Order: sequence, then C-alpha cells, then structure tokens
Amino acid sequence: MGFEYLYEPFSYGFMFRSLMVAILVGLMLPLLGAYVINRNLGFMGDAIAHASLPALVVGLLIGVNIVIAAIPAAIIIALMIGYLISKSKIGEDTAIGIIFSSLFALGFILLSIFKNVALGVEDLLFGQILGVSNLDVSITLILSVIVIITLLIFYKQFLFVAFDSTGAKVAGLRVQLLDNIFLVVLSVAIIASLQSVGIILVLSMLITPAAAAKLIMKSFHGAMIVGCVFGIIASVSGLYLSYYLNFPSGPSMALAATSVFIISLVLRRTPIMKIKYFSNN
Amino acid sequence: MLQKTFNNVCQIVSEGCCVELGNQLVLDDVSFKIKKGTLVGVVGPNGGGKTTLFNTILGLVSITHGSMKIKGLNPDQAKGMIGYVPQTEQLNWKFPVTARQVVQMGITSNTSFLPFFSKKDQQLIEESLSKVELLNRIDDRVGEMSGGQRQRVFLARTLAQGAEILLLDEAFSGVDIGSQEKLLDILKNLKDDGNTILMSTHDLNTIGERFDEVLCLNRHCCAFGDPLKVLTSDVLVELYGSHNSMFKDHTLGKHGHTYGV
Repeated sequence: MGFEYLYEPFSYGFMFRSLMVAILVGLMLPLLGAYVINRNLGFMGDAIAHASLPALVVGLLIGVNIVIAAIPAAIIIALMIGYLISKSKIGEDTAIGIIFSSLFALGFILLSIFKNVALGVEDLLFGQILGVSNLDVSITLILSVIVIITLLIFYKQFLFVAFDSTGAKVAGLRVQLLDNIFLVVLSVAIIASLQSVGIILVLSMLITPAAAAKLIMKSFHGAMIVGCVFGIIASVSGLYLSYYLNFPSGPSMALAATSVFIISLVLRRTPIMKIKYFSNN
Repeated sequence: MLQKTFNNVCQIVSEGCCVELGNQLVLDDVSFKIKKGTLVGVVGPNGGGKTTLFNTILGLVSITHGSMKIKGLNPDQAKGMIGYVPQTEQLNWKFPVTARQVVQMGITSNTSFLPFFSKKDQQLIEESLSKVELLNRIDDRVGEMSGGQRQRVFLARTLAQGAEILLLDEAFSGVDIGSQEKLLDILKNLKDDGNTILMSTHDLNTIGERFDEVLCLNRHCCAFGDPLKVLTSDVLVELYGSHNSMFKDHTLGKHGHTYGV
C-alpha cells in the first residue's frame, strides 16, 4: 500500500545510479562535517567548493570528467588556504574570502568566454544528481572509499589536533602535515559531491547533518556515526523530492537536511536524551 | 664531577637561555636547574615570559642563545616526554569529547593507526583517571565539567602519556579554592611518585606553602629557589615594580621577612 513509491523509481538505471551517489555523499560529507563544525571550518568548505569552478570549466573545455579535473585544483586551493591560515596577517576569513571570490569570479568569466561549453550553470551551482553516469558513480565510489579509509586511519590523530592542536604538537604529532591531509581529504569529498549538491549547497550537506547529530549525541564518534545516518536520510529524501517533484537535487537535499536538524532540536527536549549515549546537557 | 652528577638528577637544565619572538628578547639569559621530584611555581608579571618559557621547554619556539636540556636532551628530541596542561581559555569547550577521549589523546602518538584502543590502553586510561579521582565521570563530556575537573582530566592525559615532567599553564586561574586544594593534593601525590612539575601562577600569597621552589621570571630569571628564602622585597620590586606594599601582610612575612616601602 503505497510502498511502491519508495522502490519503484529504482527500477530505472539512472535512479539506481543516483541512489548510489546519494548514499555515498550522505555518508562522506557528515563524517568530515563532524570535524568541520567543531573546528569552525565551514567557511573553508564553502570556499573550496566555490573556488573549484574555474577548474570544472577547464575540465569541460578539454573534455575530461569534471570531477577528475577539479580534484587537483581543489587540493591546491585547500593547501593554499591552509598555508595562508598559518601565515596570514590579514585574518584567515579575509584570506579565504579573497581567494574564493576571485576564483569563483574567474570561473564565470571563463564560462562567458567559452559559450560553447556544454554545461548547465544551474546544474553546477545547485546539483543535478539524476544526470550521473556510470563513470560518475565509479569515481564517486573510489573517492569516498579513499576519504573514509583516510578518516579511519587518522581518526585519533585528527581528533587530537581538532580539539587541542598545541597539545598534539607537544605530544610529538606532526600537526601541520595532519592538517594538510585533512584539507586534502575535505576538498576531495567536496568535489566528489558537487554533482549531487552543487557548489552553493554542498555546505548544507557538510555541516547540517553533523550539527544535528552533535545536538543529541554525547561523544564525538557517536555524533560522527549518527551524522552519517542523518546525512544518508537527507540525501536519499532529497533524491525522492528531485525525482517526484523535479526539484534540483541540491536544494532538495539541503532542505531535507534542515528538516533532520529541526527533528533533532525537538528530540533534544524529549526523555530519549536520558539514554546513555545521548547528550544530556 | 660532582657538578655532572647534579646535572644528571636534574630534569630540566636551562643555561643562559635566550629566546627572541619577532624582534623582542622575551627570555634573556635564563638559567636554572630543576631536580627530579620537585613542585616548582613559576611567577612573574604578564608578558614576563612564563608562557614563552613553557613553549621553549616544549620545543615550540627555538632558542637564540644558550641551551635548554630536558633529561639531557634538546627540547625537540624530548617531545612526548613532557606532559602539558594548557590554559583552559585556549580550548574549545563546546567540542564534544568525553573525559575518556581526552585521556586517550595522551597515548595517541604511541598507539597504532587504528580508530580503536586496545584493552590495555583502556586500562591505562581508567588508571590515569582514577589517579585524579575522576573515574566516575569517564564518559561525561569535559565541556560540562568544572574548571578544576577539566584540569584534572588533562592531568590524567599527561599521566597516560607516561610523562614524568608536567607543565601546567595557570592551572589555578578560574578555579575555586576548594578545587585548587584538590588539584594540589593530586599534584603532591604525583610529585611523591617522582614526577617533576612546573606550574605558572599569579597567586603569590600561597606560594610558600604550595611549592617547593619558585622561579621568578621577568624577561630574565630574577630568583630561583625556596620561595621562603628567595621572594625578597628586592625580587618583588624587580618582578612587579615598586607596588610591593600590597604584599605587606602576606604569609611570607611570618617567616621573618620585611616587606613594604
């Protein structure tokens, strides 16, 4: 009775591909988001997404998969921003702001020069998950495996650096190197998610499910795991909205994530919070 | 020969240590020797170089002249041997970590590249927390704890790390007197176990009863030794200027010193 609305779309190949990508994005971004929201790196995530625009355009021009084209560029941007943060005399937000607005502007100038680029600007900005190809699915899968394995390997180190970077330095951890690895992984994940959520709304999937999980969970790893569950719920719901109502996928996922956040806010006021693993503050 | 043996029992030996930050000479020819198993209070005005001295011992800033040896090693090589309890204002207390996780950080560099901790590690974490009497709060968020409890969680982290030299940066600031005494009791136990402890503090009134030795720092080392002997009127003027009449009735006066102008 009505369940066919849930599974019927996936009888189409393109919907199955979209589902795969949605799940991967919903899993990968909140994992990183757990660090991003606790280190106040949200603006940095936004900047990486925006600053990758020129690379995406160049990638389209020379005919390579846009994700592949954007990754080296995003890594360079992330490391550049990381360097500026450690050296900046004008304040890190300002430094990030200048770089990302300049590159975003350059991307649009390139788009206007090369009008023959076969590309919907709207899809780039807001995401169009229904258009993913088999190659896109494979690339997203490989990238998310790399991201997740890196996060598992460096879990303890990243947590230490995120909470107390001076303490980590004193304990002999190579903080600068770990920070750079984190920024690279962050940029890879953001680029891999651009097709689903788009440049402008990637921030939403990065921080909203993670923030919703932080509201109700006590420990960092608990928040990470619940954040992934929330992320997948948000991205898959967004996919349904996109399919049935023909909404762009980025805004659909963003609003689904916001709904999850509101549900978390409500949950915080219920007796469920007295259970051991939930936050009781 | 005797000098050499003395240096061996010394955990931290600073000889004419100078540190420049930017173009400023923040530490100027600082020399002292700290023996194993002592509790040292580091006092001095704001900007007097207390934090810089700690950063030098921790190997976070480089030495321009002179030397600093930790168990005979340069600070760079001694990383990980020193436990550090940061000033509480430096940390983001909204960060969702539990006491267990903070103590786990102490053994992070020594454990394998896996997200899990072994049973032995968990045991060590529990032991460390029970030494600071916080085992019952092991799975509580540190952000929800009081200032004194947070300091004790960080102390447990240095214990798990296996550090024998502990640096505490203004661990008493923002901590009520009862919690200060509790922290001090724990520090004294650790000292009796053979740990060497340095703590920077602004509280001169209790320094005589709380610390074995005091290191007075105002860019250079104004005095070092038994607080009851070295905190003279001249040293206080050197540290804080000629406002030392405020120390007139302070407890050190009971030990036969005269203060005030």
